[in-house]
Amino acid sequence: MVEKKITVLGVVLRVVLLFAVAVCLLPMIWLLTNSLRSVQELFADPWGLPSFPLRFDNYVFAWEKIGQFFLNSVVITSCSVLAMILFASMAAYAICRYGSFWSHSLLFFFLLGQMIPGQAVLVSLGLLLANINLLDTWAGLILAYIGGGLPFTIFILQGFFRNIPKEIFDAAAIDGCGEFSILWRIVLPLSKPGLATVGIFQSLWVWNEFPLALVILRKEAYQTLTLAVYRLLGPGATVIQITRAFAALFLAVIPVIVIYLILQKYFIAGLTSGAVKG
Amino acid sequence: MYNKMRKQKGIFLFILILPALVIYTGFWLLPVFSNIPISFTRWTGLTSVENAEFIGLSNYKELLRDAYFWKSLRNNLVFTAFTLIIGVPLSLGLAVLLEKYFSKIRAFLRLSLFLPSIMSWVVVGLLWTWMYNPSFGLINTVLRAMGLGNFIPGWLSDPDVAMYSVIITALWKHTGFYTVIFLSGLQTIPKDLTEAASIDGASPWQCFYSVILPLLRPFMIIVSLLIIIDGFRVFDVVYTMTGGGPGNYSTETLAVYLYRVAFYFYKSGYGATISLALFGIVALISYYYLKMTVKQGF
Repeated sequence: MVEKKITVLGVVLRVVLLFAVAVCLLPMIWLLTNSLRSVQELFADPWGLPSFPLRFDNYVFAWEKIGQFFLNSVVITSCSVLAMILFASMAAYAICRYGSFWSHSLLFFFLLGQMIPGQAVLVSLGLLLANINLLDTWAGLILAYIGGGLPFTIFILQGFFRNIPKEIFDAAAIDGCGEFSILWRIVLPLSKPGLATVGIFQSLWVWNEFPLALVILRKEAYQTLTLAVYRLLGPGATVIQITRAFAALFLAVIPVIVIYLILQKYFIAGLTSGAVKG
Repeated sequence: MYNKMRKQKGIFLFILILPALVIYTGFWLLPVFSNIPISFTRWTGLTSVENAEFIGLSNYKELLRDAYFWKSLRNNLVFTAFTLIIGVPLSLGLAVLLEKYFSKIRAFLRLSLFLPSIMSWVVVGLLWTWMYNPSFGLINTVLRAMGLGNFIPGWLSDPDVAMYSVIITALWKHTGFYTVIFLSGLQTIPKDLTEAASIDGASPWQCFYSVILPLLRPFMIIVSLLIIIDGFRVFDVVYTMTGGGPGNYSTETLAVYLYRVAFYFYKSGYGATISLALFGIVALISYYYLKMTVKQGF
């Protein structure tokens, strides 16, 4: 066993690492502590700790303001991600089962979508949706999310599907299993890690997405949480006290943190798998 | 019999792929390419498509001599350059430190570094707008406590400074993300290699420079390309923090400018032209990125 020497450099490097971690956490801690204070306390001492009694009424007020949009986002995110995963697993299965020419061409065709930044479709997608009367509807936004999310989802899922041994497909086919049962009973249960990876990535993307929602959803009552947070707390919004705004912002990140904590091992796995998107 | 089965299978597979094909083509691919016909027109985007007036290449000519377009592109380049030059060494260094020290609480440290990157740009933008706030922001309070009160710039109100304030915010959000990518890269390097090098008398620095760094090359390229792609399509954080200002478009980026042109100035035709320019730049870099990731088998 090599004896560990504590050098000056070693200490400095450890401090640097801890400092970086502190810098990452501090703004969040500042947000949380001040969301439990009054405006007067915040202005008197911006980095003071909250005093008792804690101002939980900030959260009550914040929820009244953004609760509706929170639920909107839950519905929009779950519909988009479930539909995205359903259609993507069907497509990815077909891509894996086709001969190599069609398999490669189709995969390439879908991968083209990964090269499109969402910002470049804002103008034309808005016009397209207006033409088919889907502008300012959840259906329009969800369709845009599905379309934009499919390339990455299909790419990841077909990678997982391809790792399933061919023999399993053949055995299932010999036992009289149709293509649909093979997909539903064999391929999908074997690909749970893949489904979790795309599930968490796309949930975070849809939940956090801003520009598409900004262009597509105009009616205030139907807006997503990200959009409402911008409108209610962003520049020019003075209707809400600042520490209540802190509480609202903290509420908006809670689901993201929860999703991440539950599924983080799948998230790290998918990190380098071509996760570019507009 | 066999042929019939194969045909049936082909039809079934086609039915499986159809919904994805239709939605993806209709709502993602088609919109990008419909920018092309729109870019040849003058059109408010408020009225029906029949009112679009064909004006040939005028929008493209305007693009070439539009000072704000070039200023936005320049801002994108500044943003990209700084996030790249600071972001890559910073996240690589943190990954190396994270791999080396505090192994018992590594999961916690990694989570803490990573936390900012899972939040939306809007949330991060607002949080940092408040952090920079002159009357209650944390940053000025800390600087004053350190006796640096005289050096406090107008973080988001000074046109010469605002871009850098946005860049700091972006670095805060994304450094942890790239650190985790580098960390996963470091964990692919067999321990024997670095041990062999140090037995042969290599200093830790030589070990890092001659053994680890070359092996991390693909990861460095991937992180760099991700940063560049992000740098060209940056929208939410600028829109939230500065709205392209202060002053004369001092933080305007291509995406913010195209949004302004199309939805504030109601020039959909010209907005589509800028969209195509943005798409061209991002597609080119994404192409190399995808080639890398597919080739590396990530």
